[in-house]
Amino acid sequence: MNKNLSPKTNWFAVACLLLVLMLTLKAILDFRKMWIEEDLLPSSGLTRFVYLHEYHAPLEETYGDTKVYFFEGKKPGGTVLLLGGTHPNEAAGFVTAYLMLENLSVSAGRIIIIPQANHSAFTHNDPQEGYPQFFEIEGVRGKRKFRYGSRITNPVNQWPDPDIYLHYPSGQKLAGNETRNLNRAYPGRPDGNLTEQVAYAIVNLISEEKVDIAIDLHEAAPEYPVVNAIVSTARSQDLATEAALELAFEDLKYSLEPSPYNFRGLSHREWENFTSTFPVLMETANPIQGRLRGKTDEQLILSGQDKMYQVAARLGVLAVPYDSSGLALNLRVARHAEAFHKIVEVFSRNYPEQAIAFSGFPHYFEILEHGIQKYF
Amino acid sequence: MLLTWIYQLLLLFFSVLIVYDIFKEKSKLMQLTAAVALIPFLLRLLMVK
Repeated sequence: MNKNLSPKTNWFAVACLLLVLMLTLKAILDFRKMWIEEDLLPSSGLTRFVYLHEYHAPLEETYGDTKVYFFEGKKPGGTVLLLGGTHPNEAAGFVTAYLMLENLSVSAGRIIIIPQANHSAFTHNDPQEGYPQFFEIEGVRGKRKFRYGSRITNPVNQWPDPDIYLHYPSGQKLAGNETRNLNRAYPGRPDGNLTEQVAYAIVNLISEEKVDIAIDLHEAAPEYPVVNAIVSTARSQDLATEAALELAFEDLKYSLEPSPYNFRGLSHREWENFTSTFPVLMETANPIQGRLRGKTDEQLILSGQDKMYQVAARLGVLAVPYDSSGLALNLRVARHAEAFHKIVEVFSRNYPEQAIAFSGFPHYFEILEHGIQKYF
Repeated sequence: MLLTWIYQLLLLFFSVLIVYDIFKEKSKLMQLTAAVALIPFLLRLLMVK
């Protein structure tokens, strides 16, 4: 033994090691909590579910594999795909998908829901952002606890990040960690990294299931210009424009944003390029994602109330109206829900042979009146 | 997969060095500092975070 190791030093070292083991165990238990999936309770309208690996077999038994739920009507019609959880730190995106999953009934056509598109990104969060791991909704079926994940795939499932992410197939250069961002990975590739394979499987699903409309739900910081927005491509712009106009008649303002031609890897851009669906992406404004926010906790996810954003609103630096009432999850989910209703309504009117009819999924005013709690 | 194994071997190597350092250091502050530095190594070694 080293002569410097006196018995006294050893005891302190042993105490240090025990402390380390206890802290490590506590950290392991805390982090592993996010690997436990929440119970989602599909409505009786669910006709079947499969896993995403049905569309790309190598995803089986990986953390990229995720559930795909089918709601199929008795009458024939078109097919809509709804994606939540592309970014699991954008709560209204996946909560809208959960709410639809638990309440939907389809009578004509099909609605396919992937509530946790980037399944791996739900298994971790960004603690250095001060983000909570979970948030709770006191629903009619009891208290529901949902994970609040990360924008990107868990590095435990996909690593190392390159210094520079080269998008396939364009060669576009982005920061290295964007290689784990599902919404920069489309159209994906069969032998790519985990995130690229998830993107590849979703593109395959859209083609194989002949999806007519594919909708990707997101949120962004209130100071980001593309919020309260519907993003559409050349193919889907008429559909999105008609929907946005009709929403405006209901006094709901959505800005229409064109999908950029030169920004590659985005869902709408590559669904346009590599499938024949009508691609749509929707954004609401969420203060917990903003750089101007103050106290960061579960309450901010739910209420969207933040004093710093009130100051920012007075200074005129936000892209959306903001006051002390905040931007509650109820409101953000209601906006996504109403835009979904309107897009499907416009599509069904314009393509009557492909009409999609459904019930159970609430409208904007119903959600604002009763809260999302009524539907969980 | 091979890369992961190499990475974990490196982590194990440095974790052992840190544990050795905890016992070798004379300053209690340095021992405690080394102990705290060990935590992220262990979390990565176990592929938790």
